Amino acid sequence: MLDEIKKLKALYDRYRDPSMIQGLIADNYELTEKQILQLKYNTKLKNRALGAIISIYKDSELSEINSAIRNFWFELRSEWIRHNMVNNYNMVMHGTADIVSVLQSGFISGMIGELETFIPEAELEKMNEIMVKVQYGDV
Amino acid sequence: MEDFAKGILYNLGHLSRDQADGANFGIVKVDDQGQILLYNKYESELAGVPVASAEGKNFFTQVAICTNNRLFFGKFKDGVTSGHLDASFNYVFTYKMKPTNVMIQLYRDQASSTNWIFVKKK
Repeated sequence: MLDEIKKLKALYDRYRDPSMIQGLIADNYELTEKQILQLKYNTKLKNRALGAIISIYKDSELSEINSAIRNFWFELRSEWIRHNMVNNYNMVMHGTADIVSVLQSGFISGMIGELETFIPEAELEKMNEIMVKVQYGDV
Repeated sequence: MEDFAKGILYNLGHLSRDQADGANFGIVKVDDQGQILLYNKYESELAGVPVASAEGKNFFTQVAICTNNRLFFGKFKDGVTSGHLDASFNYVFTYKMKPTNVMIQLYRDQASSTNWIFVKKK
């Protein structure tokens, strides 16, 4: 098994730990039970996607694993952009944003940061340049 | 103009790093493209970005990715183009930091032709 898969598995196990989500909701947010369940469900889905990548690519070549990591990074970055846009339009127009979306956004950005440890800096810079244009609507 | 930033307006053309670091809100001075010229201590601690790694980079596209949209960067660009920038709004930062609600003030100082982003945690 390649080191990348071992590292992804370690990340997956870390995100399965209930303390990960507890850390996200512990900071004095007045979340309802329903909101906590939503948050747990959403974060579980993200980790399940990571688990699927590990399962499918566990015996694959490095190039395939690398491609999957980068694709997942783009997917998460796109989703984060959507959360960021919706949340901040609400902040600007109404002075508040949906707390589940805000926390989900924070969680996703943390996962993006974790995936970036697998990607060389020069390549990551190019990926960021693409998404900066996508985010601003300037492709 | 937001109250928290009013006290500093008279001196923007001569604001020293020590004065900026003494403020109880974030102060970011950027050029017309958004490149960071000054990044104060409060903002560095709020965002978890060291001053040395922020200064010289583009605020909107490299440091505060949350701001790279029409709402924030677009407003800044419009203000720089028109020569008048004085806008305040609520915002939430979430990118690689604990979600944080803030009040933003964008300002262009006509006297010194400098651009400023003020950030106060709510």
